Amino acid sequence: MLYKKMLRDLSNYKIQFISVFLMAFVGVFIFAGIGEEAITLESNINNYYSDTNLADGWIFSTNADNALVEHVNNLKPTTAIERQFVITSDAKLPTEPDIKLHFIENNTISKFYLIEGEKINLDDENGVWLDKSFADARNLKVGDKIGFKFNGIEIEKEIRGLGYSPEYVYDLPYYMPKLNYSEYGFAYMSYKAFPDDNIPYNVLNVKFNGNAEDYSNLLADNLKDSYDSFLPREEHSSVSQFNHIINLFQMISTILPTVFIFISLLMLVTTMKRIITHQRTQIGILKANGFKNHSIIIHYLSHGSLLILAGSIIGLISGPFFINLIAYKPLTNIFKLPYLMPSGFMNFAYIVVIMFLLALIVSYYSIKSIVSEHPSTIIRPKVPKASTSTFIEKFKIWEKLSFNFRWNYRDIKRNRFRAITTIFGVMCCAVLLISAFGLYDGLNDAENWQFNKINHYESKLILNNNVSETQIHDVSRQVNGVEIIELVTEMESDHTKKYASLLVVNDTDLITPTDKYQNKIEIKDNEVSVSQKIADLLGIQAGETVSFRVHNTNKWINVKIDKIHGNPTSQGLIMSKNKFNELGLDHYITSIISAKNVTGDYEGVKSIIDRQDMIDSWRELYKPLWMEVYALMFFAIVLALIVLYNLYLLSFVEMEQDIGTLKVLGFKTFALSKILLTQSIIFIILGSLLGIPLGYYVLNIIWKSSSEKFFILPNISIMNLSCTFIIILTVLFSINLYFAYKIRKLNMADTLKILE
Amino acid sequence: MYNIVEFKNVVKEYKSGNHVLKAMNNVNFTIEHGEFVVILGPSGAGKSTLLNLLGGLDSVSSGEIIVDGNHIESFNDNELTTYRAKNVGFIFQFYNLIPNLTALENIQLMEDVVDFKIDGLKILDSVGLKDYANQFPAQLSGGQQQRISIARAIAKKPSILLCDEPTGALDSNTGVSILKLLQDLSNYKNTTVIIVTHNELLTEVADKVIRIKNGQVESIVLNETPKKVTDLEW
Ligand SMILES: Nc1ncnc2c1ncn2[C@@H]1O[C@H](COP(=O)(O)OP(=O)(O)OP(=O)(O)O)[C@@H](O)[C@H]1O
Ligand SMILES: [Mg+2]
Repeated sequence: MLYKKMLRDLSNYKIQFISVFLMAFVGVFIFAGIGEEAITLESNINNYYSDTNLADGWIFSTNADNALVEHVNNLKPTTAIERQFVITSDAKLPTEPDIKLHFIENNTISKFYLIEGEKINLDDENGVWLDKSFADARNLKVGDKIGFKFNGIEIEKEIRGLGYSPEYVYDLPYYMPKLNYSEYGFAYMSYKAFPDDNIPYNVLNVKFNGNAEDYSNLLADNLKDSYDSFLPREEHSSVSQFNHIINLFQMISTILPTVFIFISLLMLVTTMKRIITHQRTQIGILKANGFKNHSIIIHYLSHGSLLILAGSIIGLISGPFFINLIAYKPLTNIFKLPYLMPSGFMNFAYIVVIMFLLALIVSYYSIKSIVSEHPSTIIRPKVPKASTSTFIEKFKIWEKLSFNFRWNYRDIKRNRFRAITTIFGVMCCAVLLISAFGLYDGLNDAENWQFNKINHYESKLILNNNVSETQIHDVSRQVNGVEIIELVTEMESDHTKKYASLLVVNDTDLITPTDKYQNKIEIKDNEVSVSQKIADLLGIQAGETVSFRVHNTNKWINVKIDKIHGNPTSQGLIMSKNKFNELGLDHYITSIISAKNVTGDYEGVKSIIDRQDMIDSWRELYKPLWMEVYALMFFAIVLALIVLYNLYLLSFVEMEQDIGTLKVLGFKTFALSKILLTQSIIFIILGSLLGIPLGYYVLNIIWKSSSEKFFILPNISIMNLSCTFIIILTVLFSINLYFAYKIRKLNMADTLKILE
Repeated sequence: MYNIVEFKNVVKEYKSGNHVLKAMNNVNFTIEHGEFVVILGPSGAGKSTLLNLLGGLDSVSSGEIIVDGNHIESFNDNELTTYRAKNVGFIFQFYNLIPNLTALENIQLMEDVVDFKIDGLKILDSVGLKDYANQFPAQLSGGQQQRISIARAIAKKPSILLCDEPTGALDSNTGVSILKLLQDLSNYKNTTVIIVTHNELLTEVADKVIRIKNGQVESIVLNETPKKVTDLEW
């Protein structure tokens, strides 16, 4: 019979229980879905790196002879080493795509990952193992022949196999405008496939123990001039670009989904508590009729907890599936990966257990406290907390205030739990909406900052590195361009060492540095500016000194930081050409930027990247992230709708009896729904006011925890605020319409029969 | 004296599925201004239904209900609300006080539906509960709650007072004091009081007794010499 009662209760409280189910579902759906996606990325890349034994670092040398190999091998931390000759060639195909050739002595470090064809055979003089993405884009098959040109040498090989390489997960050569797998790629061949016996080896793939920085110092101390540079794994562009994306994924996969789960947990427990408290007299009747405490407790425990369990299990399974569905395509578009296996859903199974247990515990304690009262007192409604009239009620004006105001004032005063829960719920919804929309704003803001506030050039001409000064000046004049140098540096403070960028540019309208608030600033000819993010990471401030060296050089330079600028994705130093030279540095011009849309061929220009290409490329890179942000926004709205609806429904149910009586006594429907509306407006205003600063705070944490390359200040746009406000208000008014309808339909004769 | 209430061929049907139940089947009667009326009948006869129709809580299926010359069966929602607010006072078996308001506040609440000032304490005094003004309903006994609910009803100065088993949940002594309050209202304040009850004894104190059975009027008896409530033998 009690079982029957449970089913009845479920159907009487249908809407509350549906919302309990949905809240559990949405909370876990997002938490597990977004969380698993970050885990998927991380575990897949880790598996891939270990399957292929990705190098810990690369030593570049124009003359990687046996002596050097031996020397490196003799260094204590070195555990394995493998020598390659790596060169960019033109494939003999239409448009001459750039293929990076790896002539290898061995295939044990940064191994080629074969998908089809035969395994790499180091004795094969005529075979080539080709980039599968490139082969697919060019419709090349195993068995086809392909020719390459480099340094005046031409070779032709037969494709033996197609596959991937861990060094090319993110593959966009710096001079390429955007990802386009038919225009470039890589290939592996045996050293025997090289036409000459004297192979000019130039790269050593190394595996070593200990950290990269120590190893780098060790190399510098021991090898002296016999090598050009050392690149640790984390700085390899493929690895770092992938990490950048993983970091962004992790950033949005931790804080905001936690807010989701927190809100749904909180709403679940308060809903359970309120439903049970509302059944107080029923519990008393059961008890008065001799039902044992434990059977009453079990009866009520099974109420919502089972639905919460069901909702969260469904969320746990479908969330990761759904997020993977929307993120998979954009991810595989930007990364060359042989596999991207979903990590399943078990990583977040614990949240289901927590949800279920918490629901049980809260239900248990709320029933327990009712059941342990004497039945005679339970049957009577609970005596409201005796409240002395507050001083406002003692004044004469109190009498003058509207009924609406007085009713709500007292109602809120006497039902503090309900009021606080509602305000808190609204606040959480505001935080959720503001931070979800804030992510959207932030990503848009970063793009706008990058392409509309800092960089104003139309074209960027990437120069070859052996062009004469006069040639460069000649091109600059022709395109009316500005010459810039872009380099990688290492920066060091007392605390840490970071890789950073260095931009050498004279005052120009084409690149206008801004502060972190995106306001234009001027970096004078004799000044050095460092970006806010690097300054934060290194713990330095304007006026302090920092040391840096251009990557691949040994000369550490101390420089005083004059200014701090802001940049969404490029973190490092900016200085003028004069300052650069004054610091004793010299470097060839790396590119020319121009306000014109430059096309055509110029002597010494490797490629031309135009503005639209850069924007497209940016968008492609952030697309997987966008998909998640859209999902977050959508489900934030859904969750907010459910939570708000649930809160008002609970309030309505709790006030229903009184409202019915008031209606019998002759109060107008309009006056009664106005009471509810007034109350909701008060709650909404208070909740939102609390939610805005908290939302800002959450957003700040999100952006702060993002990738080391990414910088954006939390910004709550008017758009964001209005959307949040409109959503909350829309919910409020539609719920109120519905409640006005319910009040009108409220069967007065029935209200009088019920004694709660 | 004139007829303040008139029921003409009133029918009230409840549909459940394809089954139709006539809770009120062609009911006719009149009640004079200031009369003390008792409605009697077995359980399920339709007494509460009658009261709900008269109080404007529910609408008729057919027939006419005329109160003070107004056809309330043709009232719309708004008119019914005004009617409830101005003309009718309710007293329920389960009191139906607002649990979150004190005794005094439950009475003062009525100021918001009528257009005159209510002296809550004076009314509380008239039902003998001046000392309980600041208690919440849950802190009062059933009889006390019922008296608050009477106080709430008379605070509106209604022309008709509708009472559905006002003493149903009370012991006889308490019941007597409640009934005395109601009879005094009829005798001295000229309020029309209509009481629904199971209690045969009350026929002796009523001016008019209407018996209902199976949704129909069984008999209407006028009592020339009604007893005082306090003279009843319980
Ligand atoms: N909302 C309803 N829906 C369907 N039938 C109803 C409804 N309300 C009352 N009835 C039926 O109408 C008939 C009259 O009910 P009513 O409540 O008027 O009886 P009553 O005379 O007040 O009985 P009691 O003395 O037990 O209170 C009953 O048969 C009841 O089942
Ligand atoms: Mg009845």
